[in-house]
Amino acid sequence: MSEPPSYPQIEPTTFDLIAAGTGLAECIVAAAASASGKTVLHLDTNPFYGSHYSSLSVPELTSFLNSNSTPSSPPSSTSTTTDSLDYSIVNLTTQPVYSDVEISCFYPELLEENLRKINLDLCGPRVLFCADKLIDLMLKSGASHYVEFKSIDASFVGDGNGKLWNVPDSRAAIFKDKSLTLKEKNQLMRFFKLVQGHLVATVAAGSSGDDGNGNDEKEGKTKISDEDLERPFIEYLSNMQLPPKIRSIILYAIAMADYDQNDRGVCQNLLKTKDGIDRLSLYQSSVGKSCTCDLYDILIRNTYCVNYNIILSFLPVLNTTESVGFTNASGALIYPVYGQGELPQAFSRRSAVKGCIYVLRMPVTALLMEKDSGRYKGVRLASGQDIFSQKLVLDPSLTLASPSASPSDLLHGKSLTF
Amino acid sequence: MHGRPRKAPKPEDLAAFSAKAEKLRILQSQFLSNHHQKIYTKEAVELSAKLLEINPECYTAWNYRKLAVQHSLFESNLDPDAVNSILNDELRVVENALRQNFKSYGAWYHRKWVLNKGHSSIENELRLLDKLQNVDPRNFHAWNYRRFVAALLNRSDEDELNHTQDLIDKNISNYSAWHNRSVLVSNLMKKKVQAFLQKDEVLIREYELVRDAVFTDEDDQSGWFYHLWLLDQTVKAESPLLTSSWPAHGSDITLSGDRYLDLGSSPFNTYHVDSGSLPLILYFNQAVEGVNMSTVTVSSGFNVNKDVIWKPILSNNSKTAHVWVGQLKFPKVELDSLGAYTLEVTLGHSQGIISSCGFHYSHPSHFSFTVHVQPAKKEPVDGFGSEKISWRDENFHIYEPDSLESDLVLPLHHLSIKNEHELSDSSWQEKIIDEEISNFRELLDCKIGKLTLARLLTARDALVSSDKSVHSEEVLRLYSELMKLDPPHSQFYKDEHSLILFEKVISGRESLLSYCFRYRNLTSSSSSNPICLRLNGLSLSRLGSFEKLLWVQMLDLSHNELRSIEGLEAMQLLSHLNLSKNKLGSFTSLESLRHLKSLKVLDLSYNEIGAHSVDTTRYLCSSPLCHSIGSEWDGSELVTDGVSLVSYWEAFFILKGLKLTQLDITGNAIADEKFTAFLAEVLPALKWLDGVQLN
Repeated sequence: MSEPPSYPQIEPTTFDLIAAGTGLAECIVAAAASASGKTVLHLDTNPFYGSHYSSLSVPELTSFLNSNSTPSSPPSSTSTTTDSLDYSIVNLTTQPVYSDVEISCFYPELLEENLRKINLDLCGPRVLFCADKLIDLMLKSGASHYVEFKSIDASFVGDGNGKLWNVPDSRAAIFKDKSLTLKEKNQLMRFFKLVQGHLVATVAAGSSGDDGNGNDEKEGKTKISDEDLERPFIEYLSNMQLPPKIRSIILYAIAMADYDQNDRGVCQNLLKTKDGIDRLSLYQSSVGKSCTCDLYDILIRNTYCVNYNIILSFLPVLNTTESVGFTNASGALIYPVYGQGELPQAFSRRSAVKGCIYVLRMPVTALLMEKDSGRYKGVRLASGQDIFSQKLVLDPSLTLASPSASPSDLLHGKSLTF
Repeated sequence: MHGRPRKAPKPEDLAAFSAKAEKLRILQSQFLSNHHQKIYTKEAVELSAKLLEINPECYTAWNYRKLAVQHSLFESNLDPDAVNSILNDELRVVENALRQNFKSYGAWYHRKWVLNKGHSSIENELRLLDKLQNVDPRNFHAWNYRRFVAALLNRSDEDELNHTQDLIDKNISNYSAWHNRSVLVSNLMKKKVQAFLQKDEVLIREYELVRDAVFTDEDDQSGWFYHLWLLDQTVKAESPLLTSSWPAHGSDITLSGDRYLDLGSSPFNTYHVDSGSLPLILYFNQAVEGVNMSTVTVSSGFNVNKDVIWKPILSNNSKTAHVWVGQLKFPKVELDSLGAYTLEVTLGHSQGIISSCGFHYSHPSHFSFTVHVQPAKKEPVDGFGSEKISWRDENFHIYEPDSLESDLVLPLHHLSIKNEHELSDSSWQEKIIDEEISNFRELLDCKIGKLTLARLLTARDALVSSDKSVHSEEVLRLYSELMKLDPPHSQFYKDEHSLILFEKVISGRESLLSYCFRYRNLTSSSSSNPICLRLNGLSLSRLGSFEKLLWVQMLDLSHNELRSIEGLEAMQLLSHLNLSKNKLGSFTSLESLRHLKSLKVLDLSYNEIGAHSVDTTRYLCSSPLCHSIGSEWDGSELVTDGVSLVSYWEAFFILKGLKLTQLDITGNAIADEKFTAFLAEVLPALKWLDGVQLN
């Protein structure tokens, strides 16, 4: 960006919504807005979609990391200029997301050889539950037409000694698993049944208008007590006499907890039992979900796709996608074929179809603020053009140069309604 | 498919149905006219295919196609290509029909018919089956057909076994797969296929598999059944064996013609011979047939008729029985003179005794006993038989054997028949069961865990030949816990509990003796009445271990919770039986009594006979309508003296053959005046009815 690039002029200059940055959230908002008939301008500094949610090849990744580890200098020329217009200019800076970036390559030859085979997710590989709301959203919005998924064949949990344990996530898997002892099989399955019973009892209590004071004896389904639901999940699991191995299978591979739940130093916000159970419930409904025809639509298209993703993970869970066949669709987890970056891209394609205008390589340099009311009314682009809109959505890394307002205030203060 | 709710058809569906029906009707009539005129042209055959694809249940059309196939096969002059195409057409039609309804009997049958013509390949058929078993893994048509194809095309049992493994891996609740597995494993062991040679190794592998299933989901019942089957395979002796006999091996039997003599011999071993014959009772560990003069040899040093006629004591309509009785006739001369004779019984020396599963009695067994004949000093009078028996406690005195007699008690329940099989090694069985016991001790917090452990411990005790049931206390505790844990099935657990308790009570000399009493009525002059085994007030609900009680002549089972006396027919010497204050609900539940020909005194008072409007045991009991008892039932007897036998046919059926002299029936719903009149009619030998002397 040292040499000022030639920026296109944008017509028209007034939109219902301007979104800066093509992260997943911005793309979903843009897609929703354009789907409901609003005029939308979607901008991104980068030459690719997805911002911090994209999946990049290794060279792209290195340059992205380097360019995002230093704060961009605000264009000094326009920073203090106050026009005779009825609005003032508030400069924006990009907050660096990465710091102390150090890139080294252990096997350059190997990397060189396989360079084209590797895509890296910027926000870390994230598998999706089949029953995730995001999947529903994709199906509903039509974004599902632009992304292909693979089902995850197997999950493993690593123990402290570097050994990988298969994750038995269903009755059949527990039955077949050779690494679990009889007792462990029994404990794990009983825990699944307990959760299942809790969910059934919760639904029953909800539908009958019952306050659900804990027991539904005649069904034999018992709810987990409210007190337990508020406790950290790991504590609850320990109280259920589950051994550490089973605890980590449940916590990290099924409930997909992010941080080490044993170490309060690393993670102050331990997963609560309530949320853990919700995740298990999501997982459980995901296992069955792949049979429903909607998702079947998505998955069946993947069967012809023979593409290998190598996902590097820093989490204790390693998910592998290997040969994908029709029968593999029974798994609870899916993953976009070309990486996480597919997701924002799918939504942006959807919004483009609905009339949203996309301009990449177009940084936003400043916000326009009405002098009288103090309301934001548009953005100034790197090309110097001012574009107007009553509603703005900004990438979280963009911050105001003046401390008066933060982007989060901006988002919250002007909540979007469609 | 299972668990699919039925939905009410929508109006447009109904319209579609009627259109379909109209189309079908036209097709059907065209087809029938073709069929009647024996038209087998290409068009006519096509028409039947069209009909079957819409309605695979049209049997006539399948039969028509068979005729058409035969016709065209004849026309084709057996040109291989033509034959192939004809039969391929049939397979295609069946496949289309199955697509319409995969449970169509006609379609499956037709396919079998085509395959029997030597057509199709195993790959082809398995592909079809896999498709159908994917849709419904428990479609029994597909399973039957699979077994048919596997047998016809010689698919190896190992391959089929692997197939069941695949299905079980997919879903452990697949009963059909577990069941087929049990069939295949049995076959492979029987055929002595490599890797199935060592029974213990096979069983250990199977235990591991089913253990995984049971521990993974202890609520899933398909695994329970397989485990139960395995346990049976582990402990089951294949060839039948003589478990016990009366007289027991080594026993001294006193045969007395006189009831009033105090013989000074053990009352356990005294038998009053009225008919001049001594019964010989053989009790086998499984139901057998083929017990006769050539398979069982009785030899003695004296002049008894060795041509014993053996009769099975049939508990059901089968030809096989656990218990066989032979009458050893003593000539009058022998009975009139004092003497001691040794009799030897040998069986298994030649083939002929076969178990219901088809196994031969292959281990020669031998037992011998001594008979002391005590001739009657005077002509038998109406003594003990006519005296009224009162079952009140004060009439019973605990039996105290003197030192001489105590030795005689032992062989009663401890049969020491020399069976050569005992030399065979049973340690592998013990090892397997011990392993299972230690595993299931980990699963004690659920009902199947407790139940399985109880069964394993019982099986473990049965393996040890001694009388000591090491685990009986623990098993009893497990069943008591199960009754509380699982109230809907408490009766089942109670029955199992009762069996164990019963066995515990009568096993072991000390325990047995504490239940042995002598009957001594104040008015009675007799002191040689037989020993009465009093098992009253033990809350027994089911009886067992009859092989140890063949000697019992007088039995008190009052104040228990018996609903049935199944198996009691083995106690052939029984002359006095007290069943009062139990929960017997009908005469049909007393069917065993029919076989107790020595029975004289019977107390059925205070039961529930006639109290239940629905008699659930009735369907287990052979009825006057069934062929096996047709000869016993004489239609002319149906009405006598205005008492309708029809309303009491069960009572008639059970009591008719008995020569009861005393019967108590009071305290039952059925016992009204009409019924007592009926009893007097049916039992002419009756002297006491409900404590009242009859004329």
